Amino acid sequence: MMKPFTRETLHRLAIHRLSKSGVVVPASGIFDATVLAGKTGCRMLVVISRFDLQAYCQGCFAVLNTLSHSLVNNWYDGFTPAVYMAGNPAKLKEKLAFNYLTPDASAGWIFRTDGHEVKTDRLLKLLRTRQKYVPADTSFPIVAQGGGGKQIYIRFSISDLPLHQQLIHITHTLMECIIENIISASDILNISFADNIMETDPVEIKYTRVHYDSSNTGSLKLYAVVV
Amino acid sequence: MSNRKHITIAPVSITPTKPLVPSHYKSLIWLDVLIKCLSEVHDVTLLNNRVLSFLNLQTMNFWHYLDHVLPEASYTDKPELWIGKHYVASNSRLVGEGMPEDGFDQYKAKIERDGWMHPSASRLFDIWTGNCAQLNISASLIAKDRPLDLTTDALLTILADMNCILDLREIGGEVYIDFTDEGIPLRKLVDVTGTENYFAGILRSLVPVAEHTDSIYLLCDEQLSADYWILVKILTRLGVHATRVTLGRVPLDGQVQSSRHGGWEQYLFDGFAEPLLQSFPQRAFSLGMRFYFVCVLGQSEGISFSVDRLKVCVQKAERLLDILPPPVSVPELSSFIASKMRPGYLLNPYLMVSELYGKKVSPYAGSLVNLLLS
Repeated sequence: MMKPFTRETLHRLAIHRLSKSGVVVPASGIFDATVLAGKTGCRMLVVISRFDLQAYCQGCFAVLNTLSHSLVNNWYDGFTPAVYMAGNPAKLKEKLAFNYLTPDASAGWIFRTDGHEVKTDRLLKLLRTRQKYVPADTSFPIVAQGGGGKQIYIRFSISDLPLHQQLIHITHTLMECIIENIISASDILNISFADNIMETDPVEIKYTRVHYDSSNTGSLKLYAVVV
Repeated sequence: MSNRKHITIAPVSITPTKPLVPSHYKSLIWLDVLIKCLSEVHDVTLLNNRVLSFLNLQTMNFWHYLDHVLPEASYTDKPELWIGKHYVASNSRLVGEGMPEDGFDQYKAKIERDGWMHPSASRLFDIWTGNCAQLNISASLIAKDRPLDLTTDALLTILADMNCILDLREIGGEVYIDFTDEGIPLRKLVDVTGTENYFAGILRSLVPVAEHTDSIYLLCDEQLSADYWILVKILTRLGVHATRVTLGRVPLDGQVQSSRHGGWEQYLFDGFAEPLLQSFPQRAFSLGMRFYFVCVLGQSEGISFSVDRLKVCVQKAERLLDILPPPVSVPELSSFIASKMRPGYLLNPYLMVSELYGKKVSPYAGSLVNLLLS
């Protein structure tokens, strides 16, 4: 049986994502995500004091609803750049203009459009984690009190990464699916974590996250599939 | 009823990895003047724990370097300069380069359990104790040991109850002191490997003291000023009056830099003290050092170290010692010192030494000299 995701397939999916941001790369060209870095000057700051997968995913959906379409499109065109910071949003509500806070204020999101650090960012430190953090497989509605819509299955292959790197893939996958209308307010998310997601049937796939392989320089890796 | 208060003085512990340079002698002299004078008015406890400096990553890294590079070395007859040159060499490596697989857990366990120190550190303390004797400074200012009463976990529990930490250990992250709501940046206490830094050690030493003292003086150099401001905030939340006193370092040839980079070789005690001790009485040298480091160099950073200026101070001290008035009574001396104190039990050592440094001989000069050179 032929593997659904070959190196060539991953490469094609990666440069397809660039094309969605208006960067045309020939099929034989090299995937280079840095061409989008700073393209729009728009970036997201996520401030975290605890991590709860359900609250975090619901927060990702909620924060997008607070933003204008043009801001969201700009951010998407810049490859949804985000920075993850250690900090207690509950203590920072008066100092930082959060676009959204989770109900328990354990995570907060701020969008910046000018590409510059602001003085108050210096209160925080880049989030660094060491051990792998593997949340249990879980199922929940994308809006806290919602449900009744279609079942969305997101499979991540990020179990070998520490949380601060897992967050990159979780956040980008989820938010790009929301922006591309693959996930909507009434949907139920079913999130699972596996070592290998390369056997997923391509016919079912609605979204893939392909990016550099952090454990194998120069290679690409399939980090998430949404079916 | 006695008005005496209980005051704790907590200086920065000197890491036993390099020679003492003029900045260290400045700190020791300011500390010595403060303790001796304040003790005339209040009950003073010195909280100076060598164990903290042993647990410093730089110290353990140096000891590991010596054990690795010079496993057979004997240190009993080595001068400060020899040890200091190896310290500079060890710092040309990256911190942690060649680090043992257990980090420094073996060193940490011996230090915390037994108060163990490397033989190179024992040698340095022997040399420093001798130098301090020439300055009429008690060895306890540099060589006091006590186990840390509070474990790191207990410390973090206390800080969490005070709502002033961000603890990310549950997600494999770091632990920070968190006063961001007051505009102070996060300050790391424990890294992702679970290793605490020197700042956590200071807190483990200070927090248990807070409930047993009326006031804590924190002495630090200007480079540590931001960290010590955070300590003041924590101690204040614990209900104790805390004050940070910063001292500027002494530039060498116009430069202020860490000892780890060298540049101090021409400014060791033997180099500047021996010629003076050969030409002047020891008491004149000791008092002259106080004149120079307190009155001439002052509290802040600025003037470079000068042996010529030091010599002028020793000459001035020698003249004063010849014309000292008889001592006043103990209550008179106490009243005089109390009159120089500011609210909050603050006493500026400059006011004490400058009483002796002026052109006019103070009626308290005899008692003050006896006190400072005791």
